[in-house]
Amino acid sequence: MSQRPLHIIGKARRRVDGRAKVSGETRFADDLILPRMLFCRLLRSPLPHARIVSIDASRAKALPGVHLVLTG
Amino acid sequence: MKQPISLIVNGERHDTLCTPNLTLLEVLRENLQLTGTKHGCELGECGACAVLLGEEPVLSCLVLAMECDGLPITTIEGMKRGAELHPLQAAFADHGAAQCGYCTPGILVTAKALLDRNPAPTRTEVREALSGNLCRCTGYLQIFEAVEAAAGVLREEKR
Repeated sequence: MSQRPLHIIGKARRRVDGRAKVSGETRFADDLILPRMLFCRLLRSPLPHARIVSIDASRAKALPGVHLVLTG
Repeated sequence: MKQPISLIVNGERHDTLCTPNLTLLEVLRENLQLTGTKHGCELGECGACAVLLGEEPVLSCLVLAMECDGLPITTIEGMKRGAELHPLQAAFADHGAAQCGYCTPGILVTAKALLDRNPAPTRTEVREALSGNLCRCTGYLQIFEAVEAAAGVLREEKR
């Protein structure tokens, strides 16, 4: 079998998404803005090891534009 | 209270309204929708949000937008030369220096600032210039090699 020159094997190839990644065009999850998109905000315990006795979310729920307060 | 400011981003003037507490990062991404600049740690540790303020790289998460009123800013969106990639961008794509790509915009603008003032940096100087930019997946070797390759291309262009 005759030896033909290799064009792909052993050669560096530019990735299909290489250009988008170096030009800042790649959209990561945090970059998406969609219609009717909601935003969430996490409020974490200021204590590293504590028992949650109760959570009063009434003031958070009363804020304008709040769709849901999830506690756990 | 919101106040009007003008940012000169990538040579284009943007008038926008912002409260005094907003960072340059938030205004670029949310007001101007220039999401190429990445939101990483928000603490000035990772370098993902780096942009150029004049010629100098700054961490846009630590700069207040109002302090930039009227100042020229360069982001990753302003690096291309028309439709052509800047030699640094081309080298990063060719050397596999952008794996997930999240740290890439900050690294590219920081490297551009380096090469603009030092066209022939040593490996140590490249490492030092990029020491404030964390990459967690590509690995730094490809990044350093790409910066050095781009420096060579830019020096050739100037001849």
